[in-house]
Amino acid sequence: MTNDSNMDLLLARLEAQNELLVKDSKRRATTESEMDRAIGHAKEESPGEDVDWDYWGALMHDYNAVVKRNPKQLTTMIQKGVPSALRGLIWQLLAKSKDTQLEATYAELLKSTSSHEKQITRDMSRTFPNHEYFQADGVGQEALFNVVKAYSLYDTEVGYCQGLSFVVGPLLLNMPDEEAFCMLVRMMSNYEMRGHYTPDMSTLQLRLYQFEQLMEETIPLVYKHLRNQGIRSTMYASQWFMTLFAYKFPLELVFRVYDIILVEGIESMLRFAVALLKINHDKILGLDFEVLIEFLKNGLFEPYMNDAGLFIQDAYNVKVTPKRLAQYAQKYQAMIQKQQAELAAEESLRESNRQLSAHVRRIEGSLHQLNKEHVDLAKELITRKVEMAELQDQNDVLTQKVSDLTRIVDSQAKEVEEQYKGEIEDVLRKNMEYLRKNEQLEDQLSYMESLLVETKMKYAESEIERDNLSRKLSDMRKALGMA
Amino acid sequence: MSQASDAAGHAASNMKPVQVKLVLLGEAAVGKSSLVLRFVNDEFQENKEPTIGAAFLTQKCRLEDKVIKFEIWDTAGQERFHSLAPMYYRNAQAAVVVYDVTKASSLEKAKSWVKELQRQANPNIVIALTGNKVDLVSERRGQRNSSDGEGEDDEESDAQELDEDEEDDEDYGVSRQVPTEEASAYAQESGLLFFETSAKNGKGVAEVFTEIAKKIPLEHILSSTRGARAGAGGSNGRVDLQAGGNGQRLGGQQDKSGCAC
Repeated sequence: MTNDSNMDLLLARLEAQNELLVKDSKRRATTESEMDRAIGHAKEESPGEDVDWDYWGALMHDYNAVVKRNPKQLTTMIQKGVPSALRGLIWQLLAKSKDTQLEATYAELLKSTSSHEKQITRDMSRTFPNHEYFQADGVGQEALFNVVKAYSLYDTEVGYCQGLSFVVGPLLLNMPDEEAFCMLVRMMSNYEMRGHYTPDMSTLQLRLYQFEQLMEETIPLVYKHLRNQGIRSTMYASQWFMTLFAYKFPLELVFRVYDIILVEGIESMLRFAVALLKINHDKILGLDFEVLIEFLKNGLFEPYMNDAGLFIQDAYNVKVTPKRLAQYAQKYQAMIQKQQAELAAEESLRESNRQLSAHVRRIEGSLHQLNKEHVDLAKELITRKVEMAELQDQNDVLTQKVSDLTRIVDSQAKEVEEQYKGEIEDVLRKNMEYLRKNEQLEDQLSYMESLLVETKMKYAESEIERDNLSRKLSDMRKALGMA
Repeated sequence: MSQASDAAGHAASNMKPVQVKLVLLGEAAVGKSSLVLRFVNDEFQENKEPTIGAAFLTQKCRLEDKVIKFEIWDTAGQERFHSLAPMYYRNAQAAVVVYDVTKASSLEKAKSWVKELQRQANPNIVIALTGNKVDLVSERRGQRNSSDGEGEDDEESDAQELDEDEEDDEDYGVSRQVPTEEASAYAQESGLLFFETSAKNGKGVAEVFTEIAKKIPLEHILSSTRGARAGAGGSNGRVDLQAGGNGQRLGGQQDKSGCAC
């Protein structure tokens, strides 16, 4: 039911494919003997164009039955390469991504606006800028924008991460955008690619770790050399893993990588990564840091340029078992836990350090305060000392003065006494004089008094005489009057 | 060694190039990779792929009697790659922090990089703040007032995508959003070198590196990095002094850029 549209497309493509088949069979007929020789020579290795249309046709008609019947055949066939005309359909079968409901969701999402839109828009012209299909304003670029934008809305934790558009590009070169969207969703979830793009990029870190471990195990000299040169896998391989090699590698190789990843799982990405270093083993050992880092990014795929088959073959020769990867993952988790524990310890140390620092600051504050007080006190002490010294000086001066004064006083007392004695004697002398004068004056006085008495006596005598005379006068008057 | 000798000619005593580790930081799509490409190859690519992880390039140049070899780590700008940055700036002697003059928020991002560098990088790191994409704003527009002449030189300006991020508005025409004075004042108060550049037409690009070379204590580096030098992230990484590939540009670069260094 749900496969109707899928089948239509499939049939349509098969029909087109049939035409090719007809041509091809003619060609084949002419080269039958060559083919036989080649297949006989190296059945599994043959990278040639010996497309087994019967197999692919049967696979597409009834994928599950064909795979169930002979799963090993599928991987063998895939390793030989999916016919490019069928690639989009085979990929979807491998990823079991066909999902009409999800396609409807996609159509809905396209109507919304993503907060990442500007950033996505900006990166569109920067994704496969030299690829014809993805030129500005072309359908390819529009489809790319739509798928990436829809995904940013579909998975908000991942949103948009640079690198994603490089993963979508190869899908769009093999299928319409709604199918590419479904493929992307499957690859992100079922193939655990989400963790390459989530903010913590946790799975990416794990893959890089597994990659380095694999390297150490399979190509120890290269591993050691890179390490000695200070080159970490993040410096060159994160772009491989975040774009499934599409960032720099030729797309024919990238498609083949997709073929394998979709059938085997994302871990097979590690096979390719190791194979790339392995085939360049000797060259790498001869290069130093800066040339090497350039080479790791742009030169590694050179030997596989026209031989994708060899690339696949070499990748398969890299021994990668799920068990081993799980061990690495465990080791990685342990390392991460240890790191986190260390980080936590560091953080708690930092925290206690912060607290201690605060404590120190506080103590320093009070020390400072104390210092200030100390300084103040010292200053005061000094002031006091100075004052005291001054007072001492003053005291000395005063003492000196006192003693001077005492001396002066002592010496002066005699002078004064002598002075006074003289003065007293003078006074006494004067006093004596005054006494003498006084006596004289008293003598004079008594003399005067005696004179006065005498006078008074005389006055009284004269008074009496006057009275007598007055009486004689009045007697005479009377006598005269009577007369 | 031989290339350096050829290029530096007479100054035989100072043939050993002084290695200067430099890191480029800044928001996505401000033109970090384009600046480096201009400096190293004197080229400009219209739609340069976003840098995923980081890229490493080198370029030699001359300053007075010394040959300086810049070892440049060009980092990815998207915020998600932020946690990887310390690996690249940890041992750097110089940093070019790039913003886009047509995008105000990119200066804010640049400031936060500067802050991070000042807190966590080598304490003597020489930081150059660089406003890129000045080719997109004409002189007139350079004076803040963008009301006029919006459409005139769009045909060349749409070359470098302006765009971007989440928060800012539609701004395709290209008005300058970061006035020179504002960024320059910030640079001055934070002790940064300051430049405005166009990776597209080459304006100011060589100066960024020349001035950095002048400001870096070269003698110190020369004496301290002899022998053991660390590649980014690796304590024992060594870089080949003989240098192949990129180092060869010394002569040509001098001619083209007129760079004294």
